[in-house]
Amino acid sequence: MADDNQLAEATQPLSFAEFLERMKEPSAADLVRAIKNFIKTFDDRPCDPERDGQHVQDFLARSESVFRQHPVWASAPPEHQAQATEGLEKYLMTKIYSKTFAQSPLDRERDEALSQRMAALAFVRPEHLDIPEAYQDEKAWLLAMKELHKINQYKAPRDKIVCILNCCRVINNLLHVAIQQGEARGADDFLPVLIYVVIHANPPQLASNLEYIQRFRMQSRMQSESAYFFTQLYSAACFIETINTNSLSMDPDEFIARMVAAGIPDMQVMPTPSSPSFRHSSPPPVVVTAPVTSTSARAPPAQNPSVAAGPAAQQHGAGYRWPSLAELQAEGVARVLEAEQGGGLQQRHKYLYASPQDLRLGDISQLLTAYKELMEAQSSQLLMLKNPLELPSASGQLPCQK
Amino acid sequence: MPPVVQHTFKVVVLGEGHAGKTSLVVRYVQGTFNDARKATVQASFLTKHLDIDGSQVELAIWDTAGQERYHSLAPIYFRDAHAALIVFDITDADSFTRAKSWVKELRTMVGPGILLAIAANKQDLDRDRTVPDADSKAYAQSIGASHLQTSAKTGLGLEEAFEEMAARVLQQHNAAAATQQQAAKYLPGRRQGTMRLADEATRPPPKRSACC
Repeated sequence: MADDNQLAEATQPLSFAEFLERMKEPSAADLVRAIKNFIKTFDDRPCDPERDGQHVQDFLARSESVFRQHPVWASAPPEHQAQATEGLEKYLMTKIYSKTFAQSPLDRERDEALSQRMAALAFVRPEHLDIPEAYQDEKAWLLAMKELHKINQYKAPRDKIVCILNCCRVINNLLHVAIQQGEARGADDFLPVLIYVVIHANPPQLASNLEYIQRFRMQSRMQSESAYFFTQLYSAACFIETINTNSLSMDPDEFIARMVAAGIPDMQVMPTPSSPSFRHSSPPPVVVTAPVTSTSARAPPAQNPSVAAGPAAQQHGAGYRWPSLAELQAEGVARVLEAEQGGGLQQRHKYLYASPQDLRLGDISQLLTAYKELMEAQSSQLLMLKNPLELPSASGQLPCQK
Repeated sequence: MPPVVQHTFKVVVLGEGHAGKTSLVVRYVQGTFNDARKATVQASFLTKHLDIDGSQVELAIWDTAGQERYHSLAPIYFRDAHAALIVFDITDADSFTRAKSWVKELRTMVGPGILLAIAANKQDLDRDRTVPDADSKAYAQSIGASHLQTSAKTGLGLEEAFEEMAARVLQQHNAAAATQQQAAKYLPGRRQGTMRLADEATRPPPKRSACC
């Protein structure tokens, strides 16, 4: 009987409630103090995602080894020790969630841009991603979308990952249908369906969720299947963020027209010649590591739309056709950033960094004039690009098809 | 009870859609080609336990989408990988060209730290061959990769492919650990720090955000 109990204890997982219960024991007082002190360090300090992530990672790793030797946990079975660390992660991250989740302006802007893109991509049909008919199961897709949406109901990184895994599981079950027909279906089949599901689920704050998990999920647990499917979702988000005329099985002109109609500037959906492509091995997409880390500190909100266009414009891009206006604009982004650093932009456009409080009534007429000029310039540029779209065969050969 | 895993190595599998990379991995991990009864629910992430001269090694095999439109996402998967298996179809010269482009990207993105193996797949279709083994062998040699003749259909060369890969990764891993130990010996004052570093070497370094 005693043996049975022991066995049962060893195999029963340690619940979060039990973790909290155990931490209330008087002998755990020093652990609790350390945790509370750590949480306090997040009071009144400006958010710095990279630094905060590292601090949390260090603290969790340290605590893991401290727990193993502490009287409260030392005698617990190893799986309970492991679950205690999970408990700690959940407790800690729930407490500092409001200081760590979607705090950086860059994350928030990416959220918005991504949401806008997903909304614009609502026209995407399975055939645009070459998803075979066998997988076109609206019910299953809806279920996968629902699982993905749950990501915002949880605060602990692990719980968020579970939502991702559940979403992927639904998709895998779908793919299983084809496996039963005798062929192995792997990432070639999985990723397009995931992308489709993500686009149509359009889960709020997707970028923030991904960054949050990446920064705050204990690194030692970010392994195997969780790491794999997290990476799949991450790359699905990247695909959507950098989607361009080469990304879907559809007419590039129609794609641009639809994106522009949904309010996505055409320059953001054009591939660029400098983008990495397998035909000509180009410099590695340095953007892979760059934007978040390097721009988060200095990027004022005003310049971020252009920053967001940077990676979008640099990614993707086999088979580029002509040096378009959009492309010139994309390349101009670099110069704009340069000018901005030198303060040149502020001199020329005095309202660029103004907040509502800075404005006086007398500024309105000046602002209106500036706005009209801007819109005139932009509209003429847009028309130049859109006109050939509207009259696809009128002139026989479009410049962009050369 | 299975023996405790001492090392987990991440292997990324790259290859064009029709190169047969998924079938190859599934065949290796699960045995029979096209056997529906044995198939697991998903085939994109699989693990395989190996005993390499007494060391218990687990291969975490990451399948990647091979379609061209996902090409620029590949570096996201390279991160923390110990090895890459690049699969091409001997009856499709384009898939070989594509394989080479992945190698270039791997080298620029990950550097020489990642072990490469080129699998000349579909050896069972020898009569339709358009890429001579001599060509792909010479190429593999030129980039310091191993070259393997495989067939997901017959199972040819699969065990060898993965075992050889695991053995090489393990060797590299042990060599790195030995160097670190050596360093620890000569830096007694910093021993603790060095030991922690050694510990960290077994787990992936912190992830940086990817392309967006």
